[in-house]
Amino acid sequence: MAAPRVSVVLPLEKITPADRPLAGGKACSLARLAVAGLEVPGTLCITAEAYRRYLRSSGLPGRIALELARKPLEQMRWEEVYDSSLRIRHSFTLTPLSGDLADELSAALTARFGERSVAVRSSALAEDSALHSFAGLHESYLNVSGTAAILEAVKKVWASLWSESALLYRRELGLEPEQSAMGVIVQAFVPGEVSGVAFGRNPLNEAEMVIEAVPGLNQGLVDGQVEPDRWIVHRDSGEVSFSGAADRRQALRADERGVGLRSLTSERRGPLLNAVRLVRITRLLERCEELFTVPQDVEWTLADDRLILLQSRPITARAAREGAASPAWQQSSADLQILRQHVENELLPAMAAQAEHMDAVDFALLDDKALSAEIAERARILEHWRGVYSEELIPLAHGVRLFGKVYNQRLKPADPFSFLDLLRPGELESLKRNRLLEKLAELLRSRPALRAAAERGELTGVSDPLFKKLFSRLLRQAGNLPVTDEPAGENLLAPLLLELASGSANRRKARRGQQAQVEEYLAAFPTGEREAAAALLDLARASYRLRDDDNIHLARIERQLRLVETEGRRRLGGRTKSDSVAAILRRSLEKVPAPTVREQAEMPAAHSRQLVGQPAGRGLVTARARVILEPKELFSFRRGEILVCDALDPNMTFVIPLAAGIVERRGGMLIHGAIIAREYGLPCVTGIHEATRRITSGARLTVDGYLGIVVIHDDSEIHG
Amino acid sequence: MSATRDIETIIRQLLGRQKFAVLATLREGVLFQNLVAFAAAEDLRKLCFATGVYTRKYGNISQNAQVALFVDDRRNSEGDFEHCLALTVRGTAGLPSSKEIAAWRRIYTTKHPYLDGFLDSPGSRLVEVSVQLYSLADSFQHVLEWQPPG
Repeated sequence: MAAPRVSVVLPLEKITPADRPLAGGKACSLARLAVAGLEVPGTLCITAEAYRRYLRSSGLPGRIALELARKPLEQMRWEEVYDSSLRIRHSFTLTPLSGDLADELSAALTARFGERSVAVRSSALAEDSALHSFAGLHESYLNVSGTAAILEAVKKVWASLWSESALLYRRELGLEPEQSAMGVIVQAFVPGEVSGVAFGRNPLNEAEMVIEAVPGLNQGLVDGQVEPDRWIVHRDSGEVSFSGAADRRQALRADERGVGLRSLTSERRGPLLNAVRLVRITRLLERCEELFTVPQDVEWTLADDRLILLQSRPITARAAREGAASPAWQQSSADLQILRQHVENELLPAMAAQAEHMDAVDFALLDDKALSAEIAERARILEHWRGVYSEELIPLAHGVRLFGKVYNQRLKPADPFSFLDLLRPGELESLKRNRLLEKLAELLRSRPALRAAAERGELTGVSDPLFKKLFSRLLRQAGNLPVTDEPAGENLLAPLLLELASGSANRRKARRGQQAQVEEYLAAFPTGEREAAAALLDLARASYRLRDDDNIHLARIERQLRLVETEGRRRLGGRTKSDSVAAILRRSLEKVPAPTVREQAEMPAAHSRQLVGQPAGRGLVTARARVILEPKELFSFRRGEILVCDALDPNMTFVIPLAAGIVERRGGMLIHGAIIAREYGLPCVTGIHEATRRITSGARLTVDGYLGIVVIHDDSEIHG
Repeated sequence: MSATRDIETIIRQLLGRQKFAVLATLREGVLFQNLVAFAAAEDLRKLCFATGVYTRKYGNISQNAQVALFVDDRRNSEGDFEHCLALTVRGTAGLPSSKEIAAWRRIYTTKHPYLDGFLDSPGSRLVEVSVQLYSLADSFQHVLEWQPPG
């Protein structure tokens, strides 16, 4: 006799503690709370068996395993983990439920909820146990109605088992493609007027409870979008202290699209909870702690004065850590728009003005003491802007990620990174510089005297007025072409210009089809949402452009420091130690932060034959490698070589018109190497661990930018 | 006759069950072996696997089309002496004709749906192996050979 088929749905009323391996922690906790008489929303659990059947029928375990095999997670940067997670989650988006599974789930959902709105939440198998909370690792979807939409939300929750945060905790979670499983709870949606979370024990002080409340839905609090009011309740005495109302401007509310942030007109001032309600929440915490025997972290909502418990889980150290700092990437579109305005209208113009101001200083007018002060001041300015770069400029990249998420969910493209094609900009500072270099190369091509001067390596002495003008503009605008730390270092550009002049350079790819893609994107939204969709695209384009340009602006400032540093060193030459002014100058120079120089390559004991990274630029090429350890080496780059480097930034991409491909240690689809590779249509693989150690200059490489593979050939091999 | 049917059935089941095979290629007297994800045609006269054009195995096959594939179901325990099946497939490798590619693609992605992206890559090729001989070992030393009809 065949074994009875494991159920794919369980109503909350039928769930017992023994069902944990099937229903997950959250569902079991809710069932227990309901049995104890606490009010919880009507709930149906989609069991882990449904997830397993979906995976078994879809080939997804193989896809996930292939993605995870690219690189050990501990070698990945956060951005690479994000990209891997995006590829895995997108596989879920593209993979439909098998017919019989969809039929079984649809029947149960329709019978239970009909057309009523629901919330769809994770109930992972290890979730909410006494050891692991995993709060916030997986996604929830609120105010979803209609069986088809609920099933899509269930797939998204399943996919969030492979979120970037979950991947970072993969070992702790025991997350393996073949063994993974997740329960999902579908609950009647409660549009609470006030909601919040409450901790039965303050992670920072065991004698206290903490209650937090926001207007509207508590997802706003959990996602970090709405700042909560907070109360501290002493566990023994019950004494309450109010730690202040948040400056409330908006609340998360149900709307026709699910949920959205709405500006507040009332409820802006005064505490959200009165003493009676605080006592009710405190009693709720105590009741939950009695039931589960350990202090709980509960989510609650108040609707028509009914206190409804949405979930309860044990407090863990993890939950406390998560509460301490929300990741910056969770910034909402509105926050990112504010950041974009700040970067575009204030920060970058200020950086440009600062660089220009320094460029106008004539060193000849500064005595040694003044020069010393100038060195110290420029070092300070550079440090300041480096701080701004980390704190305010890098987070702008999340505008691109936010757009990618929305685009993929709406359009479900085969390639989860195809949204990047919509973002290719009209102009970038680094591309303007490359065009200027191309113009200079063209002059060398057409004017034999200039060519002869370049062949002698004497660009600084050239008298040709047009060349002089363009060359001077290049040095001023191009950021920190690394030629200023030695006298007449500009002459190092001569071989590069000759190489550019010796044949046709790579051209930027035309942006054909981009408009059609934009129209397709906008058409995927109902008319009423198109304005917001267009604004998100505009934000993503600005993020994409500004994140490249900011490096050039920072390098222009760094160049000004290197110029004054070179002048200082020139003046120090021949001075004695007893010279007090020279000592001041020397001290200033010692404090100057050194430019980054990579360690000399040391080959690992085992020879690498084939390396796997991320496919960041489509194309396939076989050519010789040129390994760049420090920026100066870029000037000996030759046409047709594959650029191999640790981390490519826009100040290095002037060689890209000559390159046949790019290989980079730093990984990610949004890094500068990937951006420039897409601009020029070059094969590019990023995230190759120890790329500059494992590959040597002159080695013959194949770069497969479709699959993210780099092959290092033996020279004896004929094929390729 | 029934022995033939038996060996054919055993081979069919083993090839259906196992996802990976060890591919052996030979170039200028030097052997080279790889693990490949394979699939078999219904009549067992041909097998196929996918590879990148820049790989050593693809280069080797371009020079010398004689290959062998090894498929087994060992569990890495002493019981393997009694229960393990070990199948060697000798054959000639080549690229399928443009007419055959679609059919191979269907067979291959049915067995390995997660490799569709790999197949779509311009740097990848499906390679078919025309089988000359199957050699099946079981019960430690018991070896049978079978040539698919045709």
